[in-house]
Amino acid sequence: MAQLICRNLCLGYDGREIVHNLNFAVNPGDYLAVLGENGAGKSTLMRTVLGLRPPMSGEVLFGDGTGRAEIGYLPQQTAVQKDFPASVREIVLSGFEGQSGLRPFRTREQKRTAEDVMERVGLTGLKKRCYRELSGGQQQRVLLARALCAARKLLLLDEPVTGLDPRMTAEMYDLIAGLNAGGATVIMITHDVGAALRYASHVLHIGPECWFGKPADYLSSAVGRPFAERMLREGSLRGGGS
Amino acid sequence: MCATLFGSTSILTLTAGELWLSVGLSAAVIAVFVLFYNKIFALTFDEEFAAATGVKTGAYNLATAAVIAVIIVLAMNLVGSLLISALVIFPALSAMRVFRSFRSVTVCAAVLSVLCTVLGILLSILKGTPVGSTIVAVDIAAFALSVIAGKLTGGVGK
Repeated sequence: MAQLICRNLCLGYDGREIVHNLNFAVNPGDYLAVLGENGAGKSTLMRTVLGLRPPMSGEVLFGDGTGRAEIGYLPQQTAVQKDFPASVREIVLSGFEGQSGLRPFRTREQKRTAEDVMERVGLTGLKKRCYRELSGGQQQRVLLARALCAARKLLLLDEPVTGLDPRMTAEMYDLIAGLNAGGATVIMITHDVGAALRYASHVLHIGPECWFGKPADYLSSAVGRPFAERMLREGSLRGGGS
Repeated sequence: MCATLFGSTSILTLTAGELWLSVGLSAAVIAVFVLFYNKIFALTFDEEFAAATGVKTGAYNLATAAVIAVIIVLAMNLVGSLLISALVIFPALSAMRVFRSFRSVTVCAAVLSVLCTVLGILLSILKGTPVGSTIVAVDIAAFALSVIAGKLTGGVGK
């Protein structure tokens, strides 16, 4: 039973369509990498799936008992104000808000899960620190921890390694792969074609022509091959990307 | 007219009815804040994430707006519409200079606000100055102190 189905999805802005007739499905345990040029519509797709903006036409369907409260989300650019006073622990715990209904307090189990998650992401020493004092990479990890607390069935990540150094990037990918191995369904937007081909179970290419399938087939597809070659070449010119 | 802009000079001579109304509304606002504390945090910190993960942001935003409106109307009786922003903003700014977590900032801001208001009222009685302006002046002084305190304790923020 598929967790997420997009049927005949058309996305666009101000009457201008940027994604036409997109069809794909994500099953429990899948690791879907979403690739494409800047501005192709990857983030738009993710925001549409999350219900943050309506599609121009088509439908987004959830199955397998997956609702908004089962989804965790790591946005590309956070809407968080720069000066907001919040400790790391409070932010991570806020990931449980969608699951908590009208309950005013967190359960002991949720608090334990949060501690667990923070340890896995390497935040235990920073628990009491204020979010605005942290470096970009640390803030990214805090938001990832929050997304993990929220994600009971499905984890949506929008370029999770942007701005991270190579060591942190590798750690982040390992962490995400571990989560996927543990049963979490992952949908990740990334510019890192190498990582996508290495970790993902499926690839979705967004552009004027969309493509969906297995990573092995992606490189031989008409859409995937030129894109992948260019990205891998640029990556190695830039001095090793991933 | 003057009362609307600068606060009522008769704040020191409230009727019993007005007093109990204020107490009741204050208790209600505090109760709502405590019960919905986590929701308010999620909404004000990152509304988009909250909406994406299943929080009913529309309803809670409406409720928060209603509560804020009640607070503002109550407080305008004290300091008037010109100074109401200062009354609301300064205690929060002061707390943010010194404390690191949302909970400690909100508690500190609330306590500081009450202390400054009491001090402001007492001073205005002693010195014969207008109540609203005196309260805000005390708030500003508290802010200055908290900036110093922040620098001494290693402060918060880059």
